[in-house]
Amino acid sequence: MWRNTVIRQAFIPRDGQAVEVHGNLNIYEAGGQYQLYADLIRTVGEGALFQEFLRLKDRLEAEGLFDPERKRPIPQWPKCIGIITSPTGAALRDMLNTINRRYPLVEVILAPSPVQGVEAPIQLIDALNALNQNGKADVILLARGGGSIEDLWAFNDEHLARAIAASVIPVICGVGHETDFTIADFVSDLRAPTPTAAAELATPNRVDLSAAVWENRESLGNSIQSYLSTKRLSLKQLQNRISFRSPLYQVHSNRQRVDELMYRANLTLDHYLYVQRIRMAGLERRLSSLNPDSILHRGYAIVTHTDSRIVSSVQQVRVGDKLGVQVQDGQFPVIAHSDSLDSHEITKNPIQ
Amino acid sequence: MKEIPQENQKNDIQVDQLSFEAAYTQLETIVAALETEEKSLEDALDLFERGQKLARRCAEMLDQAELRVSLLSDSTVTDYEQVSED
Repeated sequence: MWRNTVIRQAFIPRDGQAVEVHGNLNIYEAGGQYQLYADLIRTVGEGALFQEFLRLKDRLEAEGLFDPERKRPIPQWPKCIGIITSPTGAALRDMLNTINRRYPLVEVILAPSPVQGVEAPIQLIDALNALNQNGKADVILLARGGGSIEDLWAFNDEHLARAIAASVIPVICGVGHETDFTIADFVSDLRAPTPTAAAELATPNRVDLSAAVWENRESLGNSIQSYLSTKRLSLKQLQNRISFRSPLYQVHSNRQRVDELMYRANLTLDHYLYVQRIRMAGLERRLSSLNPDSILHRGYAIVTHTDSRIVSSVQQVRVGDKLGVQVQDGQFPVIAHSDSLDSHEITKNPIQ
Repeated sequence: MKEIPQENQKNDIQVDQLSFEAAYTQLETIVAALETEEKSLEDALDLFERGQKLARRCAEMLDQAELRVSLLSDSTVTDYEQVSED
């Protein structure tokens, strides 16, 4: 085997190991020897098992056991998950932890079975049948942790493959690691790369669900709020419409008209009173100018007899008559003298 | 109109008995109904109240659920030791 071929090999044999080798046979002329130029090397048995695996796979595939339309849907929210695996393996712990973390609402029914060895296929089939008979599980996880191809061999059993195909409950297969493929993987309803991945595929995530519940709760609140505000608005509109038609509105509007009329009446009255007051003032002024007292202020006097008769003509006066003369600040008595009695006309009072 | 509150009352008792899936599905239906359908005030408030109960129930179930594990052997189911979180 050439050095550059060796570094491509996944498997380096040790002394004493039986191996299968692929290459071409040639003669080394210098030594006259046959030489095997190997390009692939693997342990004995791997090839045989692999050929068997391929034959079974082809046969079952031809039978239609792997057809996509045979695959049953995996329930979104299982109530009960059946697990078939070794009760002592790390795979079980991984799956239970995963389920507990993601969706602890489910019930898990463990149908324990050895997952390697000669008895494993029969026991795995028994476990599968027992879960189907029990009927409680919504989905079954058939799982095993990683191992060599021989370790995983039980999952390439034809009877197990047929039992998986016959299972009423959908089966998720999570055997080995990402790169391991078994017949059980092909025939099951869903293939998971690892047991943990199988548990994840079987369960919704609690965090997502919480978020979804929260979102729905929000929508619920928003809907009722918008519903109520819509109703409030239409109520308000109805109130507005009805108040126009209400007798109270008529009363209000009549009251308004009354108020307005009152206002206008008041204005008119005020104006009338104002005008009258002005006229009164004018009259008062004219009246006061007619007051005899005001004439006295200008130096005139009023002459009266003792019985208060006003003397407006000399004819009314006899000599010796006692008369009163009223001036602006009082009155004084006088006696009419003969010499001074005259009948010439007195200037007429300009005031009427 | 009269049957609806009675029916809801009957459903109220059931909220605590509902599975997560049933409660969540009902919650989604109620939200959709409130968002799209014309409801009377009484119905809308009833739906809202029930929706809240369902949401609470869902949240409680998610927060408080504990994984139950049982063992099936020879067709009999027995309790299996509770797993501890790593």
